[in-house]
Amino acid sequence: MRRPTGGPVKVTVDGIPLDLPAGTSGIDAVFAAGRDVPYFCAHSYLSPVGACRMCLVEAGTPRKGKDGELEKDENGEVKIFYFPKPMASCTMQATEGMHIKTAATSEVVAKSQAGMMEFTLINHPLDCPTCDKGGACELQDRAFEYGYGASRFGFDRRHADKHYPLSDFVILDQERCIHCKRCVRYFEEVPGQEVLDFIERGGHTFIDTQEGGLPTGFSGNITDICPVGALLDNVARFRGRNWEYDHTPTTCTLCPVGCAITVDARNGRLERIVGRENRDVNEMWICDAGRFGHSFASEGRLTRPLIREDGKLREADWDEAMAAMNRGLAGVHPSHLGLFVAADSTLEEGVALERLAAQLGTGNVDHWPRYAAQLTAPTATLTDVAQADAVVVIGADLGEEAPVVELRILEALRGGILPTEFDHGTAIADLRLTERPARTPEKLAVIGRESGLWRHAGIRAASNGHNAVARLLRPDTDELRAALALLEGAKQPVVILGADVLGSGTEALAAQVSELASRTGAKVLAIPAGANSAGLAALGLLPRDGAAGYAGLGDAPAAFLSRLDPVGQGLGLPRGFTVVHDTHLTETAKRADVVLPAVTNYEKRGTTVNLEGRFLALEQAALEAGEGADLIRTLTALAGALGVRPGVRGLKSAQAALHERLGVRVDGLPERGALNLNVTRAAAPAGVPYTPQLWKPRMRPVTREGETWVERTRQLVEEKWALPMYVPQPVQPGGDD
Amino acid sequence: MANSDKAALYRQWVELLGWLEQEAAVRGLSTEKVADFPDYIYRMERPYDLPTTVMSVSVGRGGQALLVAAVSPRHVDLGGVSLRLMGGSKHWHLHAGEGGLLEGKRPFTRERLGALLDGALQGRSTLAV
Repeated sequence: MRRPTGGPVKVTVDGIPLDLPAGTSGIDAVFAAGRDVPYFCAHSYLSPVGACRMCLVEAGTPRKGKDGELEKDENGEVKIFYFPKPMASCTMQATEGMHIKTAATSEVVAKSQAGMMEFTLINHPLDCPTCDKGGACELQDRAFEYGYGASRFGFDRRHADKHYPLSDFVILDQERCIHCKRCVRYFEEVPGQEVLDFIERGGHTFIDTQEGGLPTGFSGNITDICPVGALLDNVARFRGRNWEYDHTPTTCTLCPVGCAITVDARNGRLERIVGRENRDVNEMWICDAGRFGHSFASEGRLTRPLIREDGKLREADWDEAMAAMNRGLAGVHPSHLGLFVAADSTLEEGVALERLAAQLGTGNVDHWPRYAAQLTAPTATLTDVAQADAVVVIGADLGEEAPVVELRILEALRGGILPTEFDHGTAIADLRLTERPARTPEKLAVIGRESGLWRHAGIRAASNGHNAVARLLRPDTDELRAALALLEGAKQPVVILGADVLGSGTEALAAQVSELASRTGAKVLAIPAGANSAGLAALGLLPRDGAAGYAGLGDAPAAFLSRLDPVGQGLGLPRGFTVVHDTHLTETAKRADVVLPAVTNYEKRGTTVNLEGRFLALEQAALEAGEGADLIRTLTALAGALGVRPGVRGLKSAQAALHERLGVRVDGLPERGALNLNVTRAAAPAGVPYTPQLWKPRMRPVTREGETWVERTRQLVEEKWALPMYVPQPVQPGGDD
Repeated sequence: MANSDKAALYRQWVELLGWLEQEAAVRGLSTEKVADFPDYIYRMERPYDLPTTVMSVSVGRGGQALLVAAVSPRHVDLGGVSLRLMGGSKHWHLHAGEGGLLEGKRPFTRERLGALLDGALQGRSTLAV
């Protein structure tokens, strides 16, 4: 547990004595005592500002008299001098000897909190039954816990604009906003974009943007942190109630960061993704692609196997598909079969594939995308990045490769303050976090093409990537000299390598990176191409015995492809019998001989290894997948068709095989994952170039051809929102039931 | 406010809604319903006697509201019509009068509404975009 240094202070909350680290806020002291205080504006990863005044407590400290001794009362006890007014505990530091009274012991506090609750509800519109936040609303919960339960306010409420789309993904209701300023602080402090602010003052204050909309990148996080239903996820709008969703805590596998997410499904459809806290990986933030790019999981899925008959694909069952594979592969020697999987397949699936390949005797195994380089320099963790005093990013467009790494770099630029951790979780108000924080752009150098991080960097050097590391070692421009000097002068430098460096795959790269790391003492974070490339490379799922791998796909006499689309990529098809295992009917699947339905990573149990080498668990969300099967079961079917009894037939045996293979137990991983930097990752020439792209085409939220969600909402409003009042219906005899 | 005044207020509100729609259309602005009366939506079996269900509307351009007009729900004390220029810190409070809405003592006419909308557009166009 990470606690700040500094001696403990003794604090008493409602008579409960506590030893707390120096600098603890009053609100955390209360929670540390197991008591409760309501709050709206405080947030663990944002600066405390004391805007909502809900966390009022009575607080007092002892005082020293003229003799230098603590003043005593008539009974000889240390006298506590209470502050004249209730204090906002989120911005108040708990000091030595402080006494705090919460609503549980103080009538004044209970009344203050109920009064504040009444104020906050005065102008709140009466939308709860139609508000998407209803049921998961902090305002509702605190009103229920701390409010008077009745309204004395008889006047008109505030009127402002409602259901106003700030972007394709975020919808704003200005009437519901309680002016806690979390979203404004989030944008200023976390992604460093000043795009939202209060407009006007007093009761007329509202949130809006002058930028014509929110930038796509990290905008969705405001829908998580908004304590009311003012900012909502437009993709999940009007889909279900919070209590109706099946919540599945799992790991996102769209990029190698592996953010903690909660997948909310209802009636077998994936309706919403929200961020989940993992202090070591994404803290509490996820990117917009991870949050909003999920519609493919419930749209246009393949649900049954397809087999080719008379040149056409027809629906079949698994038995027929196995029979078709058996016929199609009859003339092919098993050792000639190519086995290629997507690089976001789980470790369990990977080890099943490895075992089957060994049994078949084929070396033509590969995963894609991946890079060729095998780096040996010490790996930086994401926490290292956040706490680095120098960061050099080379050849990476983090917005496309690993967006959350960008947030961790920005965290380093504003001081690398990671909120303290208590038994009750991350500090609710860390007083070291300040509003409009000072940033140190001179700690960041970006070498490569222009990207989202470019404008935050103090040192910028244009470079085309493939020889960037070599040039940094022997700098030939002022910018590169400055970047090298930055690394050499730092105590905890981190070098981040992206696609432009790793994809060029020169033989010398690993040596150059090692030289850079040993010369400067830097840790290196190389961003893998695929979400689980690191894990699959650890398993050695790479072409062996001179096999051509995925790049030589066209020459394979027969191939099995799992969630890969070489035809869509322009690579062509294997020349022989082709089995495609995919979630959607891709261009490759349309031309395959047998198509087997797959499941998305939202519906898998398993393990993924993120860019820092952290083993993270995937859990299965309740999505409708028809007869879709994961790779382990599909390989069992393939093995059955080839007349082989596979070594790994289920999750348990895969986990046992993994333990044997990597020496890592993946069942029962802790919630934050387990960092394992000792696993060696194999490498092989990649052959197929890879350009990272975060938003894959089918992730765009589209309901009908070419129609975005904003248009759909507009249609609902303009075409179908006629209420009965406008169109009088003739009275039906006998009632309308 | 007496009940007769309330009836006049909602009559005059409906008249204002008509003006808003027409004056906005003349200027190429969009009019959108923002909200219905909560005591219409949640009234269940209770009677409802107002001439409209619309509590607030916005006049906007390019999806962003320039002006929001709203009337107080029927159970509200000291009710009236409010007009606000979004982001302009301008707020007008209108009350029911015998011959139409009043802005204090000054009659609120259709010409006055036109002048407000023209002013809103002018203010909008002077903003650096």
